[in-house]
Amino acid sequence: MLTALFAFLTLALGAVEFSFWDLFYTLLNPGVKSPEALILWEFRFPRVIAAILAGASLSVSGLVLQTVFNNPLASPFLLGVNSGAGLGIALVCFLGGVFASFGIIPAATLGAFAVVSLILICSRYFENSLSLLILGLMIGYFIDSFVSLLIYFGDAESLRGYISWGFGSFSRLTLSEIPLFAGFVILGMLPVLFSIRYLNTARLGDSFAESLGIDLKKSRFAVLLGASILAAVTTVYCGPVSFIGVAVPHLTYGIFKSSNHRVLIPGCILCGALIALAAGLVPGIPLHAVTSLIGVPVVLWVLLRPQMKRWRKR
Amino acid sequence: MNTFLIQAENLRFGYDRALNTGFSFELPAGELIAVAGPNGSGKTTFLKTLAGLISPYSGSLLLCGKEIREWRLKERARRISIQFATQTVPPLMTVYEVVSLGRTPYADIWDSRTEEDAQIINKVLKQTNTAEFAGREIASLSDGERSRAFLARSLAQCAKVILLDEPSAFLDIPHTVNLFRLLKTIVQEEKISFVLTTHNLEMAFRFSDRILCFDGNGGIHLGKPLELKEKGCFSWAEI
Repeated sequence: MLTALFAFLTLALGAVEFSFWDLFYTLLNPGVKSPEALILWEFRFPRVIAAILAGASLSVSGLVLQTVFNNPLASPFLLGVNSGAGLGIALVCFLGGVFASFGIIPAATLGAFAVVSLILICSRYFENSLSLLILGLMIGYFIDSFVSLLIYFGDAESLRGYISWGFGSFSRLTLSEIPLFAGFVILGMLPVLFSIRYLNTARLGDSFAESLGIDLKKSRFAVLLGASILAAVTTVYCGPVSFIGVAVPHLTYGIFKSSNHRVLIPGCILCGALIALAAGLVPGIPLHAVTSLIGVPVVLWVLLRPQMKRWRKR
Repeated sequence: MNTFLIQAENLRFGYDRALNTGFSFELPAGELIAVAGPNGSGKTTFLKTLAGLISPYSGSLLLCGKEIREWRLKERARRISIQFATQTVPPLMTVYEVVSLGRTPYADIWDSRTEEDAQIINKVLKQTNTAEFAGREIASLSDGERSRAFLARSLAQCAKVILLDEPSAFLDIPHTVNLFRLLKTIVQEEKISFVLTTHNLEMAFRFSDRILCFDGNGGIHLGKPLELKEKGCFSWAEI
């Protein structure tokens, strides 16, 4: 298991190599203030970091939500994160006035966290994970329809701004924003990491976890809180990158052949960072499109391989 | 010194309304109690109450001499274990992984397993005769194998009391007999106590030390199988 993990670590670093190390070596020798250095530090480096952080946090967020809701199709956006962030940005783009002074990122942050807190507060009153799942979806739809209305009444120029956010990109992050982004990712990872016992037992049902001495409400709240922070901060900085959160957990189950979150969480971090890096290699194209273009074949391959073997045996 | 594992006094249980009239009982170490009664008489609710998953409606319920609500969850889980009849069977999980979950109340915050955990897991796998398919996915097992795997999971919890909800629900006659024999052996060897619900009165008569008989109208009778039969407590089953 460990070897698989390390093998994957090298792979993950390998993906950085193509875009990063070539340049890095040429840069080590001459003076630091060359144009390449500028490109490297100002554009390339933040993009790599953004991809790693976004990939890791979306994957982990997706993984734990699939576990909590016991639903293989759960994704980080179930918590209404992208709807909330979208609403914030739509308000800035279309309404202008007081809202315009906010700027995109603070608006998205406010929107995302407002919606997420609403769902988190509700989660405390729901015994049943399934009704919570439905609640999340419904709130998401409700807010999306608001955004649709704003778009309908908005003008073309604002629409462009809104849509370009919706495409998703790792290039939006600047060097100075990295510590804040990374800080939020760590903040979001902590409650998840402290709930591994709950996550491992939750797949056999809530009462099962409870009978093994898990404080159900507390653990579930911690996991949802962590997952929402991870999803929200990524959506704010990189836009709604839907694919990674759903697909990478399945990729991880396939590769690591485990259901233990002690393995799955680091696995998801590695796979997620790798997929996001691979998708981010092509600059300029909407990330939303690239992640799915690259990711779908990979995930299908991993998922279908065991079944193909079975077919061949017949 | 309090020697009873469970001590209930004037206990009534239920979610929104009490399902029974108050009753009292004591469970010493090394006893197998069968809970019998018609559907809907509250057998599963009773087990959940004993496990501390539902608060008693009224009355007192002591686990190892301490009110069940006052135990810390982790400490409680080290003393009492419950296995539900309608257990979700997760895909992609091996028998070993499921049994290993029984060690959760002893794990640190990272959910790691020690050498001691591994020894206990291997011991219960052997005990329940599940070691040979420990590496197989639990979803791929037959009903008989799966019931033993879930029993192993409960045993791994090293609890003093194990509550089993319908352990023989999906089993044929030979598997049922084998399961009860296994339980009886564990009771005798390890002084663990089992409280199990069952519709199989034949097995209850054959293997249990005492029977808790729910009459379906809120009345609960406790006693040795034959005593209860003479008193006519099984009239609902026409025995």
